[in-house]
Amino acid sequence: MIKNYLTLALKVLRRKPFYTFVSLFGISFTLMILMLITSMGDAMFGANPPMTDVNKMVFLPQAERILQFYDTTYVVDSVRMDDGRMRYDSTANVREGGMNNSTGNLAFHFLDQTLRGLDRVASYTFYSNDGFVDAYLDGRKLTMSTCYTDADYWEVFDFDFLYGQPFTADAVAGADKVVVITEVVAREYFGEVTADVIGREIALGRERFTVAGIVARPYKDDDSINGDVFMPYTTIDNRKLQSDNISGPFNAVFKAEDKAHTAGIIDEIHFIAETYDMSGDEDYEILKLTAATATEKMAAEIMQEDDLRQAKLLLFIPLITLLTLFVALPLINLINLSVSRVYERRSEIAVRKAFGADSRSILYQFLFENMVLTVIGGLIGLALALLLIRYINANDLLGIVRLAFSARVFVYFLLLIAVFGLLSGLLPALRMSRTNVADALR
Amino acid sequence: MLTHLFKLMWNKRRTNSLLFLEILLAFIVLFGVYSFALYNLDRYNAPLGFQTEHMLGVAIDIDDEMDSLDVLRLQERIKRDIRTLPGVEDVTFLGFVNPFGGSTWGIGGDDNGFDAHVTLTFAERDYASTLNMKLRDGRWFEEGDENEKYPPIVVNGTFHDNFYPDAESIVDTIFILGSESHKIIGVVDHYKYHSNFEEPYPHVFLPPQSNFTGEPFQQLIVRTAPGRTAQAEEPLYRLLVDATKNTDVVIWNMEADRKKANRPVVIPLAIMTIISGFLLINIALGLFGVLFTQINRRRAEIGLRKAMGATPAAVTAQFVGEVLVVTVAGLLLGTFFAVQLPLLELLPIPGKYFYLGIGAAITTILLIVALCALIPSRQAARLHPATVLHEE
Repeated sequence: MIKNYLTLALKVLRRKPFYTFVSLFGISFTLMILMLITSMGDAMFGANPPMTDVNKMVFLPQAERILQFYDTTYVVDSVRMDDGRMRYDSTANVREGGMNNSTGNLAFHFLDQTLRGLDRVASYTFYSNDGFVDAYLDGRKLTMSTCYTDADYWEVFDFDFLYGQPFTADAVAGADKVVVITEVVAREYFGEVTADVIGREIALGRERFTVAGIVARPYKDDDSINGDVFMPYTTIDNRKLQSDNISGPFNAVFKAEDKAHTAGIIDEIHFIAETYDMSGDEDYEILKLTAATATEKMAAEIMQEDDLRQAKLLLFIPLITLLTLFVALPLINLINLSVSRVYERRSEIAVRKAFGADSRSILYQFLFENMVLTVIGGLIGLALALLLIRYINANDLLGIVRLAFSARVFVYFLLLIAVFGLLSGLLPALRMSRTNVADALR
Repeated sequence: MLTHLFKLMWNKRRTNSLLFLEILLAFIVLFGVYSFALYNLDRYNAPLGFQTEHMLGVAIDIDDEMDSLDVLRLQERIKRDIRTLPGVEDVTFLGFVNPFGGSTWGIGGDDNGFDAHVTLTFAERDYASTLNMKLRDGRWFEEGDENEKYPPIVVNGTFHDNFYPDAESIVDTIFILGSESHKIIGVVDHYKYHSNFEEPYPHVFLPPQSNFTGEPFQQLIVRTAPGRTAQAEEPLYRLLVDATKNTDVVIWNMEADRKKANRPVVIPLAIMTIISGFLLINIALGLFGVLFTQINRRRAEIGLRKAMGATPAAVTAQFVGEVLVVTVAGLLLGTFFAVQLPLLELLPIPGKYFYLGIGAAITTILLIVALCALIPSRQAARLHPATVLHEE
């Protein structure tokens, strides 16, 4: 039966090449774009190395210090009593007035003192990655973003070590001049990504570091992992390490024992901030720590919005609206085209019906036919999307991030094709199956 | 004739509803893309007001322990030494807010008798000459300005146009900024320092003596001879590392920085243009196919009309008219939604661009629809009544 349907479907497609071309053009291009978007979404929100445990992570992207001013309004009600005396009621209303605030990352000293040993945290790391260092090679400049961190960093993030290994807690304690570099830096600086690079020296600024390991490029777009050179935090400028301010250049990431515990960790961090003694700070009175999950942090960064819930809405509502519009147009176009062609197949359907086929089997046949068309279009779209992904990866269009083509992404693609095929085929197939035998046979 | 066409289309409203929906959605997409593109094109066409080619930006870190006089001497020495480097034409210090750096400093108040919020740049004497900025009135900071009674400021054209629209010249005007009086000594033409797509905004340049932060200027801009920008970087880096005894020296190319600053607009614009271009082709092809089958189904009707004496032109006009009735209905509904944007002022973009966007979207869709309807209609109109009527 299926074989019959398939032969028939292919025959129909070949009979009117123009209509087949128009349909395939729409399907393949639409699916290509959708696949590219899926792939990018996977890089942004998916659990890919080196952040395979992203769902268990709590980020501490920033701290806000606030000095709140209050406006006090006095309202005096005067009432003349029956006996002619006056009575006065006064109420004072304290309202939040203006405020001074300062937002930024945290100092190592503060993190060290207050945020160690949280409940239900499997591992955690402090890191500073907002700096850059330049190296000059025969007049060519190589700018690398630095990440100063501890040995636990390699525990929290599962980087793929191509060669060598991460630096150890001992190396951090001893402030050893060792560095983990990405394959991009290895290629740019040493001209090769091989085991020979391990143990060689790299000049970063005025100092020389020994290469301990080379990591592969990430499959995930996140600023906590996008450093080019990773060094022990003890080798950072000593002023930044000793500073007893609250604000400094460091961030923190906590990995919970289980996904369900992230909310508890966020609450605990907020509680620590609320109860933190701010008497040592001469300019500010209130401390707010913004602890967030990866998606919340991403939305807040893209939308430049501090309120995490608001940021998520602001990001996803327009995004979903745009996507819907983009998918709806080719879909309607395809449906419109198929519906107008119902007429061509009338006699065929009428004959089948006259010989006893019920409406349901006609419906299935046309849904199947449409699915064949969508799968062909989907395959073309898939090929185009793969070419585009390869082009993007080869030309570093998304910076260091690589777009993955994993089994999961492939399953997403198949789902996309199936949904698109069903949606575009349902209405025309329904119309076909409802053909009136008597009219059509005339 | 029109009522007749309308009635025809209304009778086939189920078949036409999909076409109607398609036109409506296409209009909304095109309206959005056109408005966004036209608005940004207009922004882009206004000049930046300074040179970005062959320019290098530099950030250094001066020791916090140094006292202010030593810092001044160090800055003077750095500038003198940089000027001797091969390929360097000019150099200037600036503070905190650099072109395309992404940060903004602003200050506002009603001390001048009107609400005035301005953005700030801290610049010194050599800033205008290094960046090749043109003054439309007055002069830039000069030596001896420190002794003036009121600290001097230079403002941009938007400042003049917004705050003193009727004044011929605002040079020598006293302007209160953060409760302190300043004297305006010059007006530059333009200064768009965030990106090419920035809205003009009142801007004030403050001289070093108005630096209220207590931190020294730690950024430089270096103009190099054309073609020598890349070679100048390494000697510059070594010189600055030695002079500040600190490896925190970051050098960037201002032209590259400008392009990077434009990206948040250019990339969505490029993606939107490509996608809407594809959607248009898709719609045109689909529409062509739909009209072709629909018109072909009415061969008998065409034959009859022609036998009754209708000219091919009349037949064509009828088919094109039918499609246009549906299209115009979709466009009208779309326009109704679209005009809400400027009328309710939902977005901080002047209404003019939305009206232009509506016009452009309508024109594009009408053109495409007319073209797609014309080809199958003309083919059908050429049919000979004898052949067609014979088929039936």
